[in-house]
Amino acid sequence: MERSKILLVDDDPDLIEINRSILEAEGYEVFASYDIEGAVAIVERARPDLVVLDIMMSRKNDGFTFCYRLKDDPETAGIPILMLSSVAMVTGFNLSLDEDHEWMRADDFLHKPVSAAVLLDRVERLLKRSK
Amino acid sequence: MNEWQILVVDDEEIIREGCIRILGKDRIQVHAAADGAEGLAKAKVIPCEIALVDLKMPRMGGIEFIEEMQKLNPRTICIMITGYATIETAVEAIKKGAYDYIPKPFTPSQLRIVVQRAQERYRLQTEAEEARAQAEQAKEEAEKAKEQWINLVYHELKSPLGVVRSYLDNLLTLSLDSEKGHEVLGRCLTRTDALLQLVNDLLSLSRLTDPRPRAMIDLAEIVSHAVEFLGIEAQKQNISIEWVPTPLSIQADERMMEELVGNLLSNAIKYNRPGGTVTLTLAPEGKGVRLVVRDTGIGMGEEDQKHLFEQFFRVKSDATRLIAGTGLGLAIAKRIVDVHEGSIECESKPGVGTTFSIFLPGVS
Repeated sequence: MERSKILLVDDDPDLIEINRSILEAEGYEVFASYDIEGAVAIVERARPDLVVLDIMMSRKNDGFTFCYRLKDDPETAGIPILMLSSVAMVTGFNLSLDEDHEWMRADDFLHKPVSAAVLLDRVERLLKRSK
Repeated sequence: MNEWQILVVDDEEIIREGCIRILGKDRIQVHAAADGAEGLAKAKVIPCEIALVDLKMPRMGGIEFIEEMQKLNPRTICIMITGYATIETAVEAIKKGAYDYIPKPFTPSQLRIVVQRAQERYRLQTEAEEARAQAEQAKEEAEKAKEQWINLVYHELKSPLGVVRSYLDNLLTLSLDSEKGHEVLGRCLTRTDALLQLVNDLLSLSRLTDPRPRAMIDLAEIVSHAVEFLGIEAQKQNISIEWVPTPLSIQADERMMEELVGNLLSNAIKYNRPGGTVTLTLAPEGKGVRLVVRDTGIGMGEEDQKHLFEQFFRVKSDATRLIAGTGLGLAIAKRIVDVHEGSIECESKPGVGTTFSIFLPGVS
């Protein structure tokens, strides 16, 4: 069976490393980018099955822009997006998918730090849902 | 204010006419009403800064009018006109909102003087309101800025802790002696060191608001110490430091100068290339001194230069990805320079290097 492809987007190289190990150990093929430009290129080139995205990429909150971009393009709109962040604290919002779904355009949302078990569980569910 | 709108409420036509004649000139528009009800009706449509009100009127007396006027437009300065000036009525009128009174009959100059006093009063009132509004706004903005800063600090503290935790969790499944195990431990150490540095920097930053006594200190000696101390690290990365000490004293806080020089030199080494150079020069300039720290490092673009002195700002690029830093070094440097009434500027070219130029007044 073809391995599912997952794209990790985060400006912290250690978090990329940690999440990559967790996902690769589970048999996923992992792509990674530290910034939005790189992420866009990977989406185009490799068409991942899921994106794990850090919202607070920089002061400009690129994460959201990237999200809108994927969802607005019919070719990529079907790729589930799992958002990770502690931005809830940074911007003072208490983001929740139920209330903010429209605005965030993500498919699921987790507060960092995320344990291996929780990450794998959400990834599996999102992939199943999108198939 | 272009034109003053003054309302005159008096049942005597002669008084109304008199006021119009005496006051109605350029910059004053007089509106007259024969009784309280008419006065209020006009006041509802034309916001008046000043109202001259007769005390004894049929149906609605002057004091009742003033009470209603206060409700309608609390800013209007009310002046009582009265043929029965007694202390009691004066006090009552003022308690109910009148600012002044003028006894009948009055001369033109008496009327003008009272109106001038009211105009002055209105101006002061407006200034006070504006000052209060500005203070409110400043307070709100400060509150918001403080909250944003706290959230930022929270985020900067939490991130490395989260990373170290995840790595440690991962380490439970690895052998500490394995290559991977060593890598993970190395990263934990790096992130933990960064967090310690961050906590120290935060403390530094908070202390920089205390004014401290300054002494004459030899800035060259401070630079020499920093060069000696950081030289070890520089050597590890094969970076040479060029510095020719010549004694040069200024009045400054010694600890702050140590921190300023330390931060700039540390950056110049961290963001340099292997085999690169850091050049420091210190020379008198006008009444002060100029310190220049130049590196042959990776440099940065214009967009990044704009945010350079912001707290927690770090250049994010492939070249800087693994360089440890708190994002506070330059914010602290700038604060130190500001506290000493100096200036700090940066010039940089990607791939070529960066130069920081600091001016410090010799004697404050």
